[in-house]
Amino acid sequence: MKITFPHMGNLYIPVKGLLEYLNLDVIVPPPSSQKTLNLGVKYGPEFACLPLKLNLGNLIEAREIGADTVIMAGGVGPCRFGLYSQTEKEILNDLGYDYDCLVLEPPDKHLGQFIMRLRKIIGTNSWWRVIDAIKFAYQKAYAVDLVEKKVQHLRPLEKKFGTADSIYRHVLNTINDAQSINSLQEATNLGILKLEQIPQNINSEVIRIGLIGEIYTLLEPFVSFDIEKELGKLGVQVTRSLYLSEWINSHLLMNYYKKEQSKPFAKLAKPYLNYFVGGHGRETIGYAVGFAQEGYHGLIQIAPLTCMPEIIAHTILPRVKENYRIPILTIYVDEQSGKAGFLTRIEAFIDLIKRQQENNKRRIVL
Amino acid sequence: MLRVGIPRALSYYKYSPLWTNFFTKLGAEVIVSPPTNKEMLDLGSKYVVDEICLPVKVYFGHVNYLKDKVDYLFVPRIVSVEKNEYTCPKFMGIPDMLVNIDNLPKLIGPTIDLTKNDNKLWKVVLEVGSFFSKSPYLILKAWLDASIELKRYNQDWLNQSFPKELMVSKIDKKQEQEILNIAVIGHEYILYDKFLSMNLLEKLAKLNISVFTTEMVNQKTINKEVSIIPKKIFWNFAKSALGAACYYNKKEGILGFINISSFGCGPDSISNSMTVHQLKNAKISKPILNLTIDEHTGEAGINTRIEAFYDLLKRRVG
Ligand code: SF4
Ligand code: SF4
Repeated sequence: MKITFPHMGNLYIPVKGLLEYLNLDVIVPPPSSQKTLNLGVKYGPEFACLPLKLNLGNLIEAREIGADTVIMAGGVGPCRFGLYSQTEKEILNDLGYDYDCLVLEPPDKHLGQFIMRLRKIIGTNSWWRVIDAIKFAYQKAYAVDLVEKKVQHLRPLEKKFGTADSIYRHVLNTINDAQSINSLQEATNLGILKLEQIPQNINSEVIRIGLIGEIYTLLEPFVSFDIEKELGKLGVQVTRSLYLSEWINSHLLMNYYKKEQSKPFAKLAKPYLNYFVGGHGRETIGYAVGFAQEGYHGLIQIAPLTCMPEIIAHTILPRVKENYRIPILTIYVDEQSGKAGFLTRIEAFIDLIKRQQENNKRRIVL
Repeated sequence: MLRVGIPRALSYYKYSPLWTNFFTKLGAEVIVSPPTNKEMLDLGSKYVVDEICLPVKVYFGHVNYLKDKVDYLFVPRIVSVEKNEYTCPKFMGIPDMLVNIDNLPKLIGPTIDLTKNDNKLWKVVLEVGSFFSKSPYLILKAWLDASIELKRYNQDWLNQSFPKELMVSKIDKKQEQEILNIAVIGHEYILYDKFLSMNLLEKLAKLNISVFTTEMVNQKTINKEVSIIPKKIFWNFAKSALGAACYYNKKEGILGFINISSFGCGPDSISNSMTVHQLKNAKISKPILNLTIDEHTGEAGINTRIEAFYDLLKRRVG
């Protein structure tokens, strides 16, 4: 049994950690690339949202390098994600890629079935070992986030742009390779230390942007044209509404680990959006309000084209914009998006914010 | 008399007799917006983002039309009408998005969410009724009476015809010419909105094509058809569409399918793919014409495609 799973940014690090801890054979698909996308576009439903197409591409590529079993997450609606696994399964099947599919549906209905499915994956491992593996995976995700947040902080400040990113890439590898809690901790500490030694410009002024939107586009740099790095180049410090470990904790571990964040931003969606609309629509609005209240200079919403929850949020955002006088840019991506147009839009947006800041300052001086 | 406005869009097509009769019986004057036209769409589009699907834009157009003609607007948030099933995320966000329209009258926007507990519907009925009557008895009675009207409406479909309210012209069966039978799959609010569907049903009638729709298949059959799929289809409409397609695929005499969807429709992108898979894997497989509409769809192009499809079907019957 050679297990694979679809990509979503750094998600492969904790998932691989989890499965290897259980002594399973793991095949990580090649990183999402234009080739992955082309495969997904060719074989996926024309009007499906982008993550589905990339997932499909990942699974085709992984099959080509020997994976025979796939683990996917299920869902109960109301958004498309809940039917991804079924749709992908059908398409792979029609294409003649025979895969053993293990879909992890939320256990609220058939607890017995859920455990049986899990059993199929974990084989002879004891439940204790499984719990340890989950903890280990979570620690990995947490480490990734810790390092990533540091990098987000440093990008606009470093003397030579790109230093933090090259260390970041290296640290991700060492975190990925870590086989025990000890080596994981070592890798993380060393990484943070290295990052802290990067020469920084003192007194440089940074623009603070909150990045909000759909989870896949937030976490997968391939579809967002590496937006955070590009913003860093423009002197922007980015904070996202969503980090991997937080998402794992709240969605998969039922908040087993205590939240550090004091304010539950998602709750701030009221009165703008008063009901769950699937995906992260409510979080998008809640974080928009939260970031605005914390004095961020602007917000960028990013989502796959036709993404339902984000379209709803996009329709509602102008009111947040009005109430808090905060500039907001919405960017949709699909297989036709090009990097050039994308860059022009974020550059223009950051320019606008910089000009606004200048004006404000002048007003204060006068 | 209090005037209640009901937009002729989205769920209206599924529940109109229920809603109009309920409010009328409670002594309100019901004003339903007229059938969609270009101007309504254009005005509605101003309040939403470009990327949203056409039916939602149209909904905004209807609300905009009604806003200064009524005391109340009935704009429910229909999350779910069946256990563990949903409508569409956009239905769930409707009342929050509507606030973009200025000078709205008072909104009656109850949340209808039957995902978990079926009994809650009564609470919603009483909540809505309380705008017009203090007597729970009268409210519930109005509701029950209105439900009978809805039942009749649905029965018209199940009798393989169209409810008269929809004003769909039937083909004249007395004619000598032979009749082709096809299944048309699509949301009611697209199919029965003559503007959105570009008169699809009329066009088919003129070609002497007799149309069978999702609504004409009973729920039991649909549930049976989709039971072969290991995963629960959690969108109410998508489930029916898929079940109906599987059923019509097997049904003798049905020659092919027309699928009509809005560009950017989330649920349809998935259910269409699942339908294709099911049909491909069934022994019999009939031709499908997929029509995707947005505000730039040209009627001429649609006509050509329908005619080509018609010719294909004719050749198949020989
Ligand atoms: S949240 Fe958006 S991208 Fe994700 S499944 Fe739903 S529609 Fe697709
Ligand atoms: S089901 Fe499709 S067409 Fe209907 S509101 Fe949702 S996205 Fe729009």
